[in-house]
Amino acid sequence: MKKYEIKLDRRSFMKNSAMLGLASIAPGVFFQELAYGRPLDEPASSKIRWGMLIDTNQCTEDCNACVTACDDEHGIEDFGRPATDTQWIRKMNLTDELSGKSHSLPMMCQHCENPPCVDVCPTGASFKRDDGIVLVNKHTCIGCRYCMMACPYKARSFVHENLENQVPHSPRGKGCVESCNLCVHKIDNGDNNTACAEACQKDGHQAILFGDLNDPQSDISKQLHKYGGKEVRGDLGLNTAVRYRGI
Amino acid sequence: MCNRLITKVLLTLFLIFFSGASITHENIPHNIDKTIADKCVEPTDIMRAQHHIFLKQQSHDTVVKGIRTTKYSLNNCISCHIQPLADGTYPSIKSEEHFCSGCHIAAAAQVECFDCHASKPFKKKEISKVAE
Repeated sequence: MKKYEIKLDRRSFMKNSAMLGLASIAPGVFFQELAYGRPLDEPASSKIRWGMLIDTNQCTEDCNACVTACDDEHGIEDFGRPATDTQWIRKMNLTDELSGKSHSLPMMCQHCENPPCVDVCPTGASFKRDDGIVLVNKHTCIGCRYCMMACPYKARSFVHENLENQVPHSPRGKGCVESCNLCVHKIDNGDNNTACAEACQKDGHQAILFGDLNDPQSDISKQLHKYGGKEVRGDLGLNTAVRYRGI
Repeated sequence: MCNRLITKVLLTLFLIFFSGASITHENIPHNIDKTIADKCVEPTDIMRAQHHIFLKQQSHDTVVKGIRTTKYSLNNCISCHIQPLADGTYPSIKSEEHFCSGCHIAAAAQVECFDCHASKPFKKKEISKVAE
């Protein structure tokens, strides 16, 4: 019968204790990663509703950082045809006629709770994901542009040009309608921030705050609770996920 | 009678030779890294027959549900199957040297994935070029 000997020399003792140490650390590292974002194989959850709070008092008229960051992130090219060029986010200036006070603010898809674009889509390509992000499934979009007509915010664009050199995380092509997707690839990969919000924070304006509207402990919920946030065209009852302060 | 037999034999031989040639695609210049050729997510015969089914399922899972597993993702295919040519550039989707186009041109089946999806691996530099 074979005898199993336990080696107890210095080398094997060191080796075994090192392996034991690694094994005890590994779950901690693993769970820390899970806590940061949802696992890749798990679908988006309706427990979360992603949203944005835009402080128009912090947003300056001459700054275009959010638009440039969006174009960079999603590989949006300018063809020099402003009437038809794709725009996921645009800067707007509003002036109050009485007081003359002007505001500058970024305008994009407002990710409504009751989106009119989803109501009118004949193929079901325009849809709302479980975590509240309104998206276009470009595999089913036929480019009819009903959603563009239905959107009160002029948030959607139709791709009129043949595109090349698309970025892998943001597939885009001629004949489809598209709009802000709240950087859904970044959310799914656990970044939990959008390119525009990152650019705004980097430029020191802090005008765009991104977060979970359903979590009462998130920064965005706390700020909304404290200062409130106005819907653009709140009269339509769309319950937008993008809220503005200072307008 | 004899003529009929000869015609049948010739027809059978013709079908065997030519259909065989189009299925195996041996002459297509696949520009694939040979060291990783057998490390695909499924065996070659399954991938040849069913890759479009995997991709369609994955596209639904990713777009609608937000599942981002990489096993059957198109980006995962591209990162292995599209390798730079001798001059350092990636093969165009229109040329037979592109892994997908090679077979799709031979089989006369139009591939439309790359009207929207990137047909080559991601490089950060290309984005900044677009932004300029």
